[in-house]
Amino acid sequence: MDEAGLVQAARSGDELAFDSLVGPLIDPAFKLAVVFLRDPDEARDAVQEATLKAWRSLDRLRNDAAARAWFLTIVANQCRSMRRSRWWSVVRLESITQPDRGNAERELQLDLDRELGKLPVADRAVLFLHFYLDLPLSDVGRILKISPQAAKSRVHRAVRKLRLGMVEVAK
Amino acid sequence: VTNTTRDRIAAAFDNELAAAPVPPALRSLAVRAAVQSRRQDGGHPRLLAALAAVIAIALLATLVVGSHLLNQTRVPAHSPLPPAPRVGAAVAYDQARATMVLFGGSTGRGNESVTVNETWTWDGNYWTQQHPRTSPPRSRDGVMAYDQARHNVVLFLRSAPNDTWTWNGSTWQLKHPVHVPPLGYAWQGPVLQFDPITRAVLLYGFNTTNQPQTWSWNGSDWTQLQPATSPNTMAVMAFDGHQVLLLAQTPGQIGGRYFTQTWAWDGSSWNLLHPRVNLPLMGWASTAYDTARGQLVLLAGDTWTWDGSNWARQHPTAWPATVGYMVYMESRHEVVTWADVSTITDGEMYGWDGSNWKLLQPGPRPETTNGKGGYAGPMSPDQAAAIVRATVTNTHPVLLPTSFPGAPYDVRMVHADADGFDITYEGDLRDKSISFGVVVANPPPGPSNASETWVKFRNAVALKGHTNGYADYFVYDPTSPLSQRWLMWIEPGTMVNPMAKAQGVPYFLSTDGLTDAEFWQVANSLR
Repeated sequence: MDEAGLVQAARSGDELAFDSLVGPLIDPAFKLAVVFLRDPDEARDAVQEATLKAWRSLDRLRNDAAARAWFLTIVANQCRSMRRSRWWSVVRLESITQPDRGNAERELQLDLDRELGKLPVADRAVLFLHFYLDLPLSDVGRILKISPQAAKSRVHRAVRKLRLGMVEVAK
Repeated sequence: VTNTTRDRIAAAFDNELAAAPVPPALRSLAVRAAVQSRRQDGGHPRLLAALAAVIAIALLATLVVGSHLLNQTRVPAHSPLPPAPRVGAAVAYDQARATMVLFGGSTGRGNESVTVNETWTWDGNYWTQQHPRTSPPRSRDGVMAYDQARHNVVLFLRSAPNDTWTWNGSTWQLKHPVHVPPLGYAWQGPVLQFDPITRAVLLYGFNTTNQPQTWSWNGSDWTQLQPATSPNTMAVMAFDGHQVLLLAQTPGQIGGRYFTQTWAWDGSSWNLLHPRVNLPLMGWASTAYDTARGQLVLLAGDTWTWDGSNWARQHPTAWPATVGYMVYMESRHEVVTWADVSTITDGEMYGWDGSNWKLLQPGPRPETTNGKGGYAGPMSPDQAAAIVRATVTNTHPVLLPTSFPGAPYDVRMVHADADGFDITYEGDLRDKSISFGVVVANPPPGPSNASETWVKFRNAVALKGHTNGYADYFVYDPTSPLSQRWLMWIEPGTMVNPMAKAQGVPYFLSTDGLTDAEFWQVANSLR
């Protein structure tokens, strides 16, 4: 069954179709949630809640729409919601600060790892979606609720920040 | 951006994500929790999220709760001690031998989880592990019913190869029917009951293309029946002393809400009944016909009884912590429920005396009250308020509703810590619910006719670019008086929100089954 067929079947309540549709997306969804939330436990919760919301909002998924972008949009929304939650963020504030790995780690990739961890969530998300999941900018924009043009400029801005950060570390 | 940069950024993510591998069971947990949650269009955001969390926590508990509770020593062949709690076992009352028969399921947690093909019987006093000559394969997705016409227990395995077995009190026999119901995943719920009208065992479930099907077992073969009308959603099957019932969720909103409809089998078709009170949406549910009292008992968190024409919610003073394996035991003249169908954290057995549950056998009991994961009710709104006011110490003001429209309400769960809280109040008949808390919610958008307006409310702090004194009011279906609706605003207070003009506490109020006037009765009663 093609994706449109799966969407149609899932919308009519076919749980097998829903599993076929969303199941393969759980892996990238979890990774996206980790990028957003920097906490695997919270990421797991976010994916579970997002899956629930996806099940409930199947009627809003068009047959011809890409399920991947649709589902990741829900995951991103869920992560944003969790991050915005005041009492959640109070509890998690310390845990979202990445530990400094020390001056000994000078190799470029390690620097990049560290700088990536320091980026704002919005920049991390755009880089993850575009470079890690290889999503086109149109999908990146849709998931992050920004235009493709904004997604593109955010990618470039994030890459620029990464490079600046790495230069500062090297100094 | 060069390919080298792209590759290095991807590699950096790989490095970061290596520390957070995808939990191996996440797919099945997430999908299963979702599909078991009942599907809604633009549904109630907080209530369903809480329901999903409860289901997910229950499932996760099977993986993470301390094994010392669960690794019971092997029970002697004839013992008052029950076997280890198990998930997904099949159960039926064997009238010919006056025993409860329990087959299969999974014991243990996490990597120690083992699916078994054990057969246990309980005669009302003693448990016996049976050692039949032949046995069905290890399974955690069987359904079972006593066949009154042939005086044996029928076991149907809900997933491929959909084998049918019978139990004669000493051994299992694999049947070789010409026709086999081609049913889909176990969680689509095929359910089984003996039908006294046709003297056959009735099976309801969904095929792999999600079409509801009704089948009949005559002792040697399955026959697909062609009812003129039928539910088309997952259902729980029950017997009310006269007829087989299907308790099926509504396929969509009716009167602005989802609930569980009651269908009755007349021997050839499913007929929708119209009781005065409809059951709410249910998660796990077990049923048994209480012969001594002439009523069907339904355990689904709350306890309900069916007298043949109407549902009544019971108000026991004690109750099982979970939904267990339930049968009517003739020797005890009572309905009993043992353990939990969905986790291995509960090993208690309770008996129903017509108005109350009493503990028959102690055992492991899941923790239901703690300050971190939440306080499980039911409790009164006043008790919940006391917990919230004692727990939330960093946030001011703490507001709570003080007026509840309609029937009395109780609280099933409170989540609270020093900074915030979240409460769900439910009406006595579970047809109204109110969720309220300190939380910036992200409710799903409504249908195309949904209404979103900014209404004057208290001294709400505005987001930047907006006007003070207004709250966001959303009605999912303005044409339905009982539509789900929510209100979101920032109450002047202690929290800092960079998007807001001033400090304030984000509050979110949502209701299900309340009219507009009732909604504002609650909103205007916040103190």
